[in-house]
Amino acid sequence: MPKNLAIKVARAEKDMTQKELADAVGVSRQTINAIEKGEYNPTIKLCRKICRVLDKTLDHLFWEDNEDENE
Amino acid sequence: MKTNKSNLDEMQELKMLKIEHNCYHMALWGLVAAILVQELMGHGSLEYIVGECLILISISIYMVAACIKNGIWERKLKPNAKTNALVSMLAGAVMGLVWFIVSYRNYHKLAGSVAVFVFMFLMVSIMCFAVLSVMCNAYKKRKDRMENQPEQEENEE
Repeated sequence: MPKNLAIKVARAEKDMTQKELADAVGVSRQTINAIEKGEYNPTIKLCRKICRVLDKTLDHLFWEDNEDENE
Repeated sequence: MKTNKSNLDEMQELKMLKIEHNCYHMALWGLVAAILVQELMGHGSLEYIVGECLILISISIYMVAACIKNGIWERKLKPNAKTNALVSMLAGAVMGLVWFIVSYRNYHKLAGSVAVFVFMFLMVSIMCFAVLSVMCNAYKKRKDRMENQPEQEENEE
């Protein structure tokens, strides 16, 4: 699974740490870390929560190009 | 103290399920190994292994019933007669081998021990194949029922 840089960038734009984002969406910091590292594929429910907190769309944070999907 | 709310998030929950899955397999196969070792060590009479056998039977019945109820068979093995026959023969061979060793250790007669092996191999293989065939049919019926369920009924379940 490729790294999710979009979340990292969106988080930086909001000046949020992984811990702050984790608390805002109600998961542990290790889960946010795993999502950003591409080690965990979150449920659609968690994706939507992250989008809401970071003010981004699902496409923006979680859309993968064909090239990314093949990685 | 509230205990009904999980302390785990979704990723931790998945990891916990994976850990529990590994524990389940260790416990199940450990139990089988414990029973076989006790047989080999001469403590194979029912009074020694009744507890292990009861737990193994309970786990197995629950596992089979839950899988069939949910229309699930095995991850890799196909539900057909050929696979069932191979698995049954494997179980028969293991049981035959254990009883061959037990018989040879107790009576030191090769011909008799081979006869015990053949008898156990055939009996366990046939019984295992019969049980697997019945379960396989039940699974196929359940799966067909679930696949052909009308959408309305599916939503209500």
